[in-house]
Amino acid sequence: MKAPNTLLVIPALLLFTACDKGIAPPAAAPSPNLNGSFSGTVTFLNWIAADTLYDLRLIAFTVFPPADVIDEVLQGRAVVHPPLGAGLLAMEGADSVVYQLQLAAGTYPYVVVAQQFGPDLFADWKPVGQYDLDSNLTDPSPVVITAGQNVPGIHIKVDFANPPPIP
Amino acid sequence: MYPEFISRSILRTRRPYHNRRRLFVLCGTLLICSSLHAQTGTVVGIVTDVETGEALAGVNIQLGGTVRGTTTGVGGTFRIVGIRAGRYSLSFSCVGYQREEIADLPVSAGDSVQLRIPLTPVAIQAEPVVVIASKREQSLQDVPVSISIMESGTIEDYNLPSVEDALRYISGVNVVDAQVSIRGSSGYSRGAGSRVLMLVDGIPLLTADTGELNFETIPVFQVDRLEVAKGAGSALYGSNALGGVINVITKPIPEQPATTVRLSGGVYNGPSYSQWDWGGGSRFTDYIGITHARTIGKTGLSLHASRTGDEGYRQNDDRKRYNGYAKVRHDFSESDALTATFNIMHQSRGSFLNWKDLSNALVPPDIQQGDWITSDRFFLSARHQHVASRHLTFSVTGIWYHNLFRDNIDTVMHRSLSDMYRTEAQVNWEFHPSHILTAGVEGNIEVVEADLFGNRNGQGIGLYAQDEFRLSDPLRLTLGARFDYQDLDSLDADHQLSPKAALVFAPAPTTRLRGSFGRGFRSPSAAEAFTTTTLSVITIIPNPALRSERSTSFELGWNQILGTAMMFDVALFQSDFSDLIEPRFVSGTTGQFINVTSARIRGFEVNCSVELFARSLLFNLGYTITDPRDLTEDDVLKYRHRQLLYLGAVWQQGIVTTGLDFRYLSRVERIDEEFSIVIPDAEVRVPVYVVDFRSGVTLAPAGTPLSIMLNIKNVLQYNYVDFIGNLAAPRSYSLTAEMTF
Repeated sequence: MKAPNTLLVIPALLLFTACDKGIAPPAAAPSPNLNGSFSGTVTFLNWIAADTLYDLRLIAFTVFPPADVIDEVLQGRAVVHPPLGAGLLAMEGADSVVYQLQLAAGTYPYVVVAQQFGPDLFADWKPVGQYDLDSNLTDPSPVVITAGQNVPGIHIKVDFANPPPIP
Repeated sequence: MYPEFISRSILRTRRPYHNRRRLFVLCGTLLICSSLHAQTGTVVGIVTDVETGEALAGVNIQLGGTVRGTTTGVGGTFRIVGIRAGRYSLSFSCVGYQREEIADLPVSAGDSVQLRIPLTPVAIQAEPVVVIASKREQSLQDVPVSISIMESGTIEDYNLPSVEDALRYISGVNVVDAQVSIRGSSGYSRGAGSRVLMLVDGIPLLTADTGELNFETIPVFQVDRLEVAKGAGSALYGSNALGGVINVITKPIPEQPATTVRLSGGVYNGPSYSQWDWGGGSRFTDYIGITHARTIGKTGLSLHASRTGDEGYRQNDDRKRYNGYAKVRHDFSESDALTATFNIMHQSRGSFLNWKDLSNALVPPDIQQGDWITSDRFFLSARHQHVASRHLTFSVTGIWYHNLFRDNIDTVMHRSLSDMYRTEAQVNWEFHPSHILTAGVEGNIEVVEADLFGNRNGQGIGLYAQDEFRLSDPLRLTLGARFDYQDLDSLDADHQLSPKAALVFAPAPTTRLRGSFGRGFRSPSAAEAFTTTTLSVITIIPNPALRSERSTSFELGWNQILGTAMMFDVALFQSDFSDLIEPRFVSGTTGQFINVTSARIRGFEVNCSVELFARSLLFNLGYTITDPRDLTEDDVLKYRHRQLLYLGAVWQQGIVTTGLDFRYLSRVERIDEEFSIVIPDAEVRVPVYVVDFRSGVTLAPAGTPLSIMLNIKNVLQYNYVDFIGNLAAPRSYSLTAEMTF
């Protein structure tokens, strides 16, 4: 190997790699799909034992009745708050939590607080509270989101001892 | 002579220190001087470069047929006292120099034999001695498998915080979260189990509970050199030597007293993007270490203590570590020596499992905030060596490796206590001028008490033998085998016969052709078989039906020295794996370690070293390309880089040394897609391009025993993931001062 050629190898690689900074965060602008939101308070009663509380999420479905939670999320037919992998919706024993969920404009026929009660992230979910304006628990109330608007007052009561039916 | 001489070559950043004072010793080799002791004799002397007359430090000296030996100090001098009257051979070896041996050196009672040994530089044709290939010292040129070496000078020049970081600069080796992969042998299992065996001074060091390599236990600046053997090595080393073996050789105890103080401070650059700024401000690193070594009579002692601090460039990723180390050697006689080593470490650190998401790449999810891990580890080892004659050596070793770690991950307190006991008896016997026999027996006991893995006991035994046979002058054959029996708690007991065959052909003094075949196996660790835990939303369940995994490796190699300034080494290799133990999602986010995969990894590796301008400019290249196939799924093996490239250049002029290194790893093609469900943006990954810069000055030639080094790592501030959801460190700067007196 001739020395001049050898000497050029590393600077050439440096120039090449200097053009690429690798991983970057996503664009700061919010996704155009997340152009609306709703907010409210979730209240809790009769907290269950910690060993059956694997996860607790607020979920807004675009379909009713939904298939299982994770499938709907992966198919883009449900929005989860907080996102999977982040902390729970509320600390165990909390009386209530105030939330705001950003999502795309549209109709969400089923807004629910769901508990993961076992280790299987795909299968072990059940509703423990749902948004409903009347006493007919088999027919939850929809939430309608308008672009650029926040819909307040979407309050949900979670009673672990008296959960709503599984749709 | 610097970075990576790759297989059968040496990663070195600087030449041995040359004392520029001209010696006035006459060129006669041997002078008999006045008497000093009545019953025994002494050998003293100085080793120099034959061309320049400069004194050489760090030369290994061995008194043949005895356990006695030493290394030259900063001024190139050495001294071996208390030698019983007789006739001895005395060998001198140093990287970059022709090995020399005085075949018949008379030592008389009460006399001091004074020597001046001029060593001849051999440019690229280094002749270092390695022990990893055959459990005995032999020239690197005679080893039939691919071996890489990194010397202590390189570790110090790079200012590497651990052995783990040092391995990242060795060709064909990749390290992910303390998991070493040699030529693609390992994927990603968060430290549970290792397909690479690590030895410290030839003694296996794996934790009893997780079966992992714990690099933090070893004080990196006490390392004299690292030897890495690539390919299956179970024929000599038993379980875990599936993908290769790492031997960490600690520094010998010098005859003359020496105290070294090392201080280092550093700072991380801020993140590349404002979105990643988590408000941590400037984040610093620090290191302080002190070592004292001396020999009193027949007893040598080395003591070391250090503290390492790292505030971490990520939130909840800070750590503090304290290391203590003591090494004692006592020569009972010319033929018997006992070496004992005690090593202790305490570390406390935050736990950063994965990022919150790509917008918050330096912040853990809320649920991981405040998680911490503390670990207390120590090992006590001893080796007794008996040299019966120049052709027959016995050794007995033992180690007790104790580990305790605690964490509060997922708000649950975990505690794991484990102890590993190992012992080995070995014989090296040159029973015929053409045969060298290496044989031994090894036993191990593991005791684990852990809420993650349960209370588990394991034991095993291994028997091995190998014969190195010189068929003719240019042709050497090695045949060997090892039988292992391993029994871990409720798992089915397992056994394995691991044969080995290797050939080295030297058609010319500068040419070596080699071929080797070997088998490897690894029995599962307690962590892989019995873990019950939840990490974030991932649940791990035990697998009591787990079996050992096995491999078969082939390699063909060609090593060629061209002229006096260039060397290259080419290797074609193939490893077939069966019953590979890998973590898999078995249901939803429930994971388990299972025997899932048969795999084949084929590849090609080339290493090249060039020295220019009277050895002041050194280049090294190491390139490895592999085809890692999952034969069960007929797809690419997960978590493997197909290509690894290392380039290094170092310029040494007078007292100043400056170096630049480049590492490239191709993008990992496959991961477990299920991670995307629980780790936001888990799929994000890119090729790795890392450039490191360093420059140092040593004032020793001016009479001040001080070295100062500047290191800049990841100079280009390139952002990549080390593993899923873990952004690697940004650019960092460190300044180090080291003084020896």
